[in-house]
Amino acid sequence: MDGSFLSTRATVEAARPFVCIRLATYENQDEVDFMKALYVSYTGEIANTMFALLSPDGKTRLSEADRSPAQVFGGVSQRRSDQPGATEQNKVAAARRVESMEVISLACPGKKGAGGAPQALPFLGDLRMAVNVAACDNQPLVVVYAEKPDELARLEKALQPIAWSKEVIGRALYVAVSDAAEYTRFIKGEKPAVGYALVAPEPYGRHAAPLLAIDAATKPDSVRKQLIAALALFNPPPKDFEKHEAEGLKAGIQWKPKTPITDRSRRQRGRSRRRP
Amino acid sequence: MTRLFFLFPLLAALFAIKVSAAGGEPQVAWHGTLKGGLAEAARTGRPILLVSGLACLHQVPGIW
Repeated sequence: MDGSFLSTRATVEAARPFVCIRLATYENQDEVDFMKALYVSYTGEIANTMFALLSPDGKTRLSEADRSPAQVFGGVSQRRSDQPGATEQNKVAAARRVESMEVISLACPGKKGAGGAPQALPFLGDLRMAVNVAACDNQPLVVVYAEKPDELARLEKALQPIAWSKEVIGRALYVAVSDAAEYTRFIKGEKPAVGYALVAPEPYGRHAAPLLAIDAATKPDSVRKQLIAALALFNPPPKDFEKHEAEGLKAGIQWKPKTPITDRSRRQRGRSRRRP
Repeated sequence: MTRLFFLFPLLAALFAIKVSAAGGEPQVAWHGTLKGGLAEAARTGRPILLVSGLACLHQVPGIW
């Protein structure tokens, strides 16, 4: 997925009035079915990536649905950004994209009264996926941990206004965990404790290391301050995509999606055939 | 009680900087599940920005 189209400051700001959903393709059959109803490639199956703007009920397309924002609004992918005219094309496309998003957010301003209530935490589905996505994004992950459902719900609710505050929004990912075995499988070096843990993924997202643990009894203002300070210190170097891929292949590090990949590139198909 | 894994840097940050800015540029705040995102959109009546991506490149994780 070329994240460059959705990481510019103007697009990030234009996205704030939206409920932004980013699915990991091929990880959940219900999600695959939903995507398939919106867009399929020439093979009749979903593609590795997809982009669409939808109505609040998720049933009406408010933009075309296609592989990426570039297919819908124009622009040149990051990998081809050195081609002549790419910068200018991307500027024009970005303006078109932001304008469309602003028009849609004006047309769908949200329910009256809903704006005052804290937004739900933007959780990932499970810790395995969350650590990998955090590595993909090069961002830290906030793990909300409690075995008891009511305690987990209390912790989630207390974190909502902090997660969506201007100092924290868009700077971390979130996952709820209630299983100690799942926690210790993916978070190395610290036993699970009821509360919040800010963790840093290793580059391939197989596991994460704790940066900060906040006890469940900590007051919200202290949680907020500690989280902001810890996030300020998290500044990993940017990833070199080609080096990351090459070293990962050499080390035999593999991710196995939970549903079949239906959009294999020629290179991937060739590699699969060569494997015993 | 809060356990600090990097006591000195964190304390330094807490007392030496104004608590207002975090590291890196803020990104889009993504709901990571369809169920959670649709529920939030239904609750708030806000439009949906939907994207999907494979969380590996040629099956190597840690990269979109």
